Amino acid sequence: MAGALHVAVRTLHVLGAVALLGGAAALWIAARDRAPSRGHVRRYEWTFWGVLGVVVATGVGNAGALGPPGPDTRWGAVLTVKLALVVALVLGSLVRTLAVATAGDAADGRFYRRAYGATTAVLAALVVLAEVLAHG
Amino acid sequence: MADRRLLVWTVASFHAAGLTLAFVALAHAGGALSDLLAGLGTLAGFAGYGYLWALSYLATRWVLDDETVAAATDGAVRTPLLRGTVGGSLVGLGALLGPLLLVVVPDLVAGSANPGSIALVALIGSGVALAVGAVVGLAFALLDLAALRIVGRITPARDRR
Repeated sequence: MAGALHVAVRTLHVLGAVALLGGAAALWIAARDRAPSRGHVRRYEWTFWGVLGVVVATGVGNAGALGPPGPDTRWGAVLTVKLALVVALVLGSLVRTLAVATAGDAADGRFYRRAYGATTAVLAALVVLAEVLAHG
Repeated sequence: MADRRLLVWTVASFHAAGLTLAFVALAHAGGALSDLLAGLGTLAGFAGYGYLWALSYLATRWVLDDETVAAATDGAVRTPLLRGTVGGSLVGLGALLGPLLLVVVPDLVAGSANPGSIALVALIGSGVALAVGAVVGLAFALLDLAALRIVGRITPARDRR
């Protein structure tokens, strides 16, 4: 039972990360030609914060199941870097979504290209760090 | 015109995730993360996070009314900070009273708990929860306003609000 629950938590965590990364990458690619539609952007932002909550909650669940060692170990140091990147992602995404919610048409193609490009890069780095934590 | 529903959803989710991340990062830095999480079951952890998220959403919906959103996007500081502080203290109170009720109600019904001592614990705890919540609420309100200022710098003024 505990094993199945842990697999379910890890699966949710991975699926959540895939959804965030895939959505950001799609909007970044779309923004390279012209500004993506506001409907698509807003839908992603709504989804982003909902899925981020699931990813954070399942991430804490994963950490609890793995029993993380302190920050002085190599694994702990990688976790420290991952946590710092997650904090950067969350703070940067707050700015990005507030811009989408308040700037209206003032947010142009260049803004979207940069915002979703940076989001994609940070999320891709997080996936790599997660891989290192999972497999050493 | 700002999309208030998206703002409320974003800010509430940011506060719930930010608080959790701050807790995890501090515990990890102190080397106590494993011990802290070991005592927390998976389902209880998810329920706790969901409860915090719900409290944060309700408080943020109250904090970010139309007037406050307009004031914040116009650069006002006082009203958003005041309402953010009060909203934070309400979340702190809810974060204490919800779990407390969950624990003591079965004991009260069974008659195995002293209502007087529970009321005293709730009263003292409420004061502490209100104060801690107010500090956390103020800190998040400052972060929210800083983010709005950055938005003002990176996007043209045209059509903002």
